[in-house]
Amino acid sequence: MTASGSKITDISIVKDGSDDGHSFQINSQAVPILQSESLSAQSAQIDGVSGATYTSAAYVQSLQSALDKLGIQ
Amino acid sequence: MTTATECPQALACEPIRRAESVMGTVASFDIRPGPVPPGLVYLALAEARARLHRADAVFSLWKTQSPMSRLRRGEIRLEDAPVELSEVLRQCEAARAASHGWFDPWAMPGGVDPTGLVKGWAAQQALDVLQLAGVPAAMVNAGGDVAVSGQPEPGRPWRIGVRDPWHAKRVIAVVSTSGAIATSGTYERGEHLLDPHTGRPSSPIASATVTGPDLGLADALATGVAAAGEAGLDWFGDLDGYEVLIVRHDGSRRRTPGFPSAA
Repeated sequence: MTASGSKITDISIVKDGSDDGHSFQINSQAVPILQSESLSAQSAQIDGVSGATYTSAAYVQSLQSALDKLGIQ
Repeated sequence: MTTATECPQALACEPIRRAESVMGTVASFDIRPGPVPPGLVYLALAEARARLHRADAVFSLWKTQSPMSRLRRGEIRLEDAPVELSEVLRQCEAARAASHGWFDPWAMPGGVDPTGLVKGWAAQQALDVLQLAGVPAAMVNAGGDVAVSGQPEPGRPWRIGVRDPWHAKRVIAVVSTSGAIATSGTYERGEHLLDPHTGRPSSPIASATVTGPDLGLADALATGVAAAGEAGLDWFGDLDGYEVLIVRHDGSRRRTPGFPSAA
């Protein structure tokens, strides 16, 4: 993942070998970037994330939390 | 803004995102106000947030004095409880039938427990408030259970990722949806899903994701499938508009033919 200005411009696509799957990962090095900068929703190409119910503590580390930060600019 | 949506007040047309701590998790809002005046949007958002907190106050089993807790202890009768309680329990009955008994709040230890449906139901209520206010597009994500309305941009549906059970920062599928999407699994909290028929822990699959028109039912069905496993795929032939994606413990998946995976 690379960051340009306030936008994340590339997200690595990870093929995981499962039947119909494609998986993309925002890697661990990117976490500080997500926490400190806004990112383009278009780059991530998702608007939200569905998953098993997270605790308030786990939310902080979630992709949804990164998407929510788009609103703080 | 370059969208086709009329946007008389530029600021109002920017997405409004809020994260609300409620029900032991976080509810995320993404609102696309379109031409709706900011005052009206924020009023609707306040009401939507209040609905979530109201659901928490009424249904929480952590709060010993909540109406749901008091009903379980037999301290109040259903007819004396807040009206939402009857409504949610009615929906629980429908979900129990739809899941062939695998979602069964009445089989939980300690008394009736509608938790598996309440969060989805509450988020759907919050979204309905925004829709009634005329907001053209919105998303409410209650801790991983998502309800959407409209389109975030003209001609583009909402795109919702399904979390990879083994990696919090990965998604294993992207779903284009105009309704609801709920996921159940034990990977976040490590809690046990119970087989309502035996009362024993049951986690035959890593996760179950259900899409459909209503988030309350989708939430309950996801809970049921997560306990039932792949047998749950068979329920969906009779459930108009609902589809399911299962992730097995080895990472492979199965889904109903109509599951709305996006490219």
